[in-house]
Amino acid sequence: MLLTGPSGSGKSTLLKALAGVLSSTEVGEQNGSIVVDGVDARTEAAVGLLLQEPSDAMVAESVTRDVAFGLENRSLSPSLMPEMIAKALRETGISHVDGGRTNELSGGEMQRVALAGVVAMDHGLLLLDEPTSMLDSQAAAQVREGIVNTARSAGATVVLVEHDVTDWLEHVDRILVLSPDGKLVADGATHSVLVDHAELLDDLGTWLPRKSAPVPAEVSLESVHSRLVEESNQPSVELRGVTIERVASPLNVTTSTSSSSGRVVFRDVNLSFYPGQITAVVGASGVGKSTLVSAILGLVPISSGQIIFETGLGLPSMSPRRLRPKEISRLGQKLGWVPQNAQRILESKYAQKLSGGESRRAAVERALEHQPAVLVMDEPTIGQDRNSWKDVVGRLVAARNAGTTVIVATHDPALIQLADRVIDVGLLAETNESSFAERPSSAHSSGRSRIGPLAVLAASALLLVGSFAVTTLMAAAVGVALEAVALAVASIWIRFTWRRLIPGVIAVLSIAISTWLLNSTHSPVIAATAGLRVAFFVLPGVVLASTINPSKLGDHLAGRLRLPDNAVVAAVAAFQQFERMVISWRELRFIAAFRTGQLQSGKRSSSLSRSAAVAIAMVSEAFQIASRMSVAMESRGYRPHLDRAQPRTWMFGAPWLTSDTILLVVTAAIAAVPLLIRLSSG
Amino acid sequence: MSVSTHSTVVRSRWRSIDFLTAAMLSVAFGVLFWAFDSFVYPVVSLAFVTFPPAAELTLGVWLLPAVVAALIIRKPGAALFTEFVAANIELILGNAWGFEVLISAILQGVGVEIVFALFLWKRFGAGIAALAGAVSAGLEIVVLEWWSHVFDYDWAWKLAFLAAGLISGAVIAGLGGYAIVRSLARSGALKAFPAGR
Repeated sequence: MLLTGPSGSGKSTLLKALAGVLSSTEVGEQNGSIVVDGVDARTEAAVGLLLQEPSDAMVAESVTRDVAFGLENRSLSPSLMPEMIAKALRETGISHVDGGRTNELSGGEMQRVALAGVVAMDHGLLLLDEPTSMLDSQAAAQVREGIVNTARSAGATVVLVEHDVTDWLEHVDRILVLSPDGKLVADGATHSVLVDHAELLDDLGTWLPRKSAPVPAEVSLESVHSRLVEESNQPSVELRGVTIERVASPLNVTTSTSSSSGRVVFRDVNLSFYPGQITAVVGASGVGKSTLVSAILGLVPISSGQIIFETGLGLPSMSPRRLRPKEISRLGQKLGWVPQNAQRILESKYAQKLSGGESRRAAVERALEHQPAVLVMDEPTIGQDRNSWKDVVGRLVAARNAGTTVIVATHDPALIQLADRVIDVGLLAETNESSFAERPSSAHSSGRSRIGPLAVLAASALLLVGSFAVTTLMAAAVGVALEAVALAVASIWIRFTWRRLIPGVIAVLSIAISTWLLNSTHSPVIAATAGLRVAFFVLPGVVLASTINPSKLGDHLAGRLRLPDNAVVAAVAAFQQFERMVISWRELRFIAAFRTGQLQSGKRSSSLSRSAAVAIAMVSEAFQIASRMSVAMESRGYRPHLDRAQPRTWMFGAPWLTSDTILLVVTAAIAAVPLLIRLSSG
Repeated sequence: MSVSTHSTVVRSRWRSIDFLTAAMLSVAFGVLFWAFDSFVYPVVSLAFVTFPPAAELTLGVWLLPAVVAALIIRKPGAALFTEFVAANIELILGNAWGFEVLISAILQGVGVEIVFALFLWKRFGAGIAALAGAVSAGLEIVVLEWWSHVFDYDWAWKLAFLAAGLISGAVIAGLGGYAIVRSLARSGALKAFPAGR
């Protein structure tokens, strides 16, 4: 069954209501009731739900844990899980990522893992909210195949919300159409709806299979770059021998046991972009379309080569370094930009109310307001119905005709067809999208840590208690020396991240210095003792903490310390978004500087208020992610507001290892040393 | 049948969106702390080396998640949960104090909880926020920092240290946290919460 209708007609809201997650995640009145298989939808998760943005649905560090999530919420026995997980991954055609990390999956893979998580729960009803809109055609086809296979083998009812019905039609039995004000205007068998309501569907902007591509709307823009058009043999943007490395993830930089360097995406690329031309940057998702256009903007730094703008524009050329805020704001004056997450570049107050498609459309309008010489866009047509597509692409064509250099990363065939030039990034890229097995693993401390997280915390606590007995310099020095020896020996088996010690050492020094200043005796001995006392409990803890894996910490906090399941589950799921938040923080800071270039002079804000605005924007993005995650998690049985018959199960449990006991015994012995020294010296 | 979305759940009972918002708030602050720890704090602490108690003027930054969470979620436990998760993130990413951040987080979270509990989770103004920030800082310093970090300071300096912490807690965490919540509400990010209406 397929549900369609224009943006904002309430399709997604209807799905959420069906899934029974509406009342706990949104505000409003709900009248009437929804019954699924004879059960009120609000009380039990009897329905599977798959959302638009795949990364919102990833709740766990590994694929296995992610698919297990719904099963754990259903209190199934952990011994049953491996088989159910393997089956779900097989049915959705994604078995090859089993055992991988969710953060390393491509969008299409993530969406299929999310589907597997839903499928594993074996629901009779499957709700899909534009599950392929964020994917390129190849990945979309794979996801579609996974969905169709699953529906067939599980015999489930599938309700699908979609703007573009073309690729689904052969699989759909029934179509429902909503009007802009949320009324049901058509309902019937696929063929009869398509024939009887063809005009209605067209008016509502639904994408239907047809021979002719849509015609962009006529938009006229003032010609601003006539001089450039005349000499259009001169490129306005030129890449000379540019090499780009994918920046190593910040999480790996800080927590990985091995130093992972960036992977080369492009090597020695030469490209030119000309005024009065639309250049489409195409290629499979994950291959580097966004990376390339981001490099032109200066958002992604290049590691060698140069990016040069036409001299008349008066823009800085880009070399291998991060741009200063002033330079970014100069780029903002001459460049127009529509990022993939277009909400970010709009006024936040305004953007919150817009859907993805609407905000991309608004961002295109906005980018053209200051008549940019170069317009850079990342997937501007995602989420556009047929009517808004005509408007967006019409503006793009008008900008081209006005002499703007239009650079657009896209996987939209209708848009690619209109382009004057097409650059296939797949042909430029250093590595094509590698299969999962070949992808370099980030060597996260995950599988390899040999001590449990609670043992680490308990050991740290013992040292803190032990430190109160440190009263003499001798006791402090002996204690710290013993710790150093113990850690050095332990590092034969356990990989620590020694670099983590730097902030701790600075803290210890600052304590020693301040004690020397602020203790009336100004005794260096007392100062050194104070510093070493803190070092005694801080430094080993910092080194040991580098072995903690967040998912395992969650298992242990819930399983052994009996902290509330609901709280631990939310914390672990949110932690998976850390990497995404660091990237969004960087982009938001860039955007803040970029936008100041477009403001009238005199309206410039101070750098402090700009930083504050960036922080607010990031927290507000975190909240949007939280609300979408809570929908995804509720639909997989995470219902903290309801009473449970049985406690949640945890697939991996919280095993206590022999090495944990050894760690505690050794630490207890060391922690007792200062006390023994104190007692023995009388 | 008409079901109001709020009469169906006990007011103090946490919804999934409460848990996830609190947890994501910790993550967002985790990112900001990570940036603050690596780029800003080293500079600040060097600047204060001539008069160390003044470094305690930055304490309020670390108390922000607790105050902001209490103001938004308005349920018992929000401050403690958010601060504790943020501390775990700091611990996992690496920080200067190791395990001690967890103890700090519990004290700081409890400090905020005490103040909002005194007003039965019914008042969420700037004054209450400032008081919560100050109590949170006070608890942290009096229970933990006096006995670990600044144990050997003279008492006069310990009190100066406390005063700096209280001011920072009230101003940065309290009033700053209140301002953050206000601008989040204005941006429409708090639609699902009473603070956003």
